[in-house]
Amino acid sequence: MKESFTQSMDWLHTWGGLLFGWVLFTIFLTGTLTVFDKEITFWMQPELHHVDSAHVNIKAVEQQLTRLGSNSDRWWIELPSVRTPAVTIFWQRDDQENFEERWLDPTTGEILQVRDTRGGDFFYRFHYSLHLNRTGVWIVGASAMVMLVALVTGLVIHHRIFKDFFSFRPRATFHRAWLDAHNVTSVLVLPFHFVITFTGLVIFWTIYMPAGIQFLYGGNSDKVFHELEGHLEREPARSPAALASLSDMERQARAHWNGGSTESIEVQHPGDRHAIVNVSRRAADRLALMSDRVTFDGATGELLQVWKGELPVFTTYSVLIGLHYIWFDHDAIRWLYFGMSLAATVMIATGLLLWIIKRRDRHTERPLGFRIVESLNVAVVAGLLVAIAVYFVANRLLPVALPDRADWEMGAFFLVWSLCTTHSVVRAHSQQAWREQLSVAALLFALIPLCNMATIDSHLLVTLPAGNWRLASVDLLCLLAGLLLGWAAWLVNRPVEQVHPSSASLTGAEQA
Amino acid sequence: MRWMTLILCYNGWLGLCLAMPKYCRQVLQQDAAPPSQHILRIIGWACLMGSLGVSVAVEGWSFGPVAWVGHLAVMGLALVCLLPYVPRIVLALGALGMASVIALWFT
Repeated sequence: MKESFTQSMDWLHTWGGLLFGWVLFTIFLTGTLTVFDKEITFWMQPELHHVDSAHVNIKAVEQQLTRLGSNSDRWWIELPSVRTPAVTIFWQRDDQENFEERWLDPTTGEILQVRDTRGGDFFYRFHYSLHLNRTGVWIVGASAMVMLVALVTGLVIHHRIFKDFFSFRPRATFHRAWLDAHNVTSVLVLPFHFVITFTGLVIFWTIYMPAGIQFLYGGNSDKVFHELEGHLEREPARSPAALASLSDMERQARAHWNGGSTESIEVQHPGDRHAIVNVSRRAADRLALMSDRVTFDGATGELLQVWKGELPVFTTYSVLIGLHYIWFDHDAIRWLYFGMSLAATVMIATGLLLWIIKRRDRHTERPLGFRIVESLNVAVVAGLLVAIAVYFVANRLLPVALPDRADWEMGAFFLVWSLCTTHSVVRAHSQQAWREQLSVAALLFALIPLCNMATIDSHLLVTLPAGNWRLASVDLLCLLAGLLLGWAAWLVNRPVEQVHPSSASLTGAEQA
Repeated sequence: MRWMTLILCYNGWLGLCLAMPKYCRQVLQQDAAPPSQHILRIIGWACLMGSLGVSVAVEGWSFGPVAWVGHLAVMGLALVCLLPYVPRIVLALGALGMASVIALWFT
């Protein structure tokens, strides 16, 4: 081997990072939004903003399900939480494949007319499948593996990791400044990068490492979880029997949980003599994403099983995925995750830019490959930001009664993203493309709170005085994003003063 | 108490930062050698470990370390962003923070 070990690691970091950087950027940016997915969903359903979830009338909810899902074989009730105020009910349709979904007022059980939107769930799905189903999950998995490789190789090639630990020299040369930004967002947040990437892979172990399941369970991963979670199943008896009181069962279940609250109630074969009711505990106060469960006989209300996941291997797995999902109630950790995840996104973006900056001065005329990378950088980094802003705006501006409204919202997102991609290719100078797309993104983000004021009655002027931070923070973060992107656009707009190499190294030395 | 974790993290990083001559010069804006690298380093590590202790004491062993890693990262980034722009404020913030923590402790 002619090259040194560090050189080959550098090569791997550069090219692996470049090829997968674009996908990783979209994964991490949508992942950052997913930290607040339920808050975004709530913001996108203004019809639920005034719902009071202090008292939950399970009896009324049960009546709705009896009425709506009388022929269904399976019901789910999701109870309200701090993050979602309404009761959500689902029931299986006759085709056994799809579910119907409705939002109910927790106190009265009345159906709430909510605009059709995917809300923050869209970002969540995109985060792990890129809207490409199983193929997307594979692409995301491969990217996560490359991310791990990039993290390790990055550590190897970063010679001055301790000497430059706190170095950020924004006034030095372009290359120095961006490299510092890249290093700082990597090194200081390194534990998060490793944990989030690894646990992300763990979530889909059944897809990525199916050998064991293939061998022991004939490839049926549902069977594995049934066994691990000790689910009780039974065939319907095909003879009708009234369902015992769900609210009684829910109360009994809570007695087993030492103050824990109920997340959901599942009914299998409702109205049958063999009905089964599963009451699950909200995993709000633990890292492990693992819900204790109490199972009842639906017809008699008799207690069948109390499950508390004591299997060490399953607990370990649940803690790992819990660290990724953060479905527990801990606002401080949620915000910290948001910050760290944003740092990871910045790390990837700066890495992509560095590839260009390193090579920019070497070429007098720009080869095709170089121009492709330049355009893709604009399309992915700035274009995705524009598309995200459009998704928020579309949620407010599309008519509420529009058929297939949720699809239109997503359509707007993808349409605008493709327009941005075209724009970045058509524009001869990438600097122009950057400036224009960043300006558009800044404007759109700043517009979001205004759209809110024009279309609904729970906007900043109402939510701020009322101290409704769950809604206000979405608007405020949009404003902040608008400001920051505007600043970025202004920075790009400045005439580039070519820093003279000698003076640059001088300022660098002064700063150091 | 979360405030205490944040401030201890910040001061821990600040201590380690000042223990390195080049950052020390950047903060003090003069060519003075750091007072005592050894002591600063010990203070830095003590603050970081102390913040872990506080975080675990408040949040317990499950959430405590997770929150601590988050505080470490965010406060580290904050310090690094302040350093080139307002190097003089960096020290003042640390001192103010410590004072507020002590004040909170005794009230």
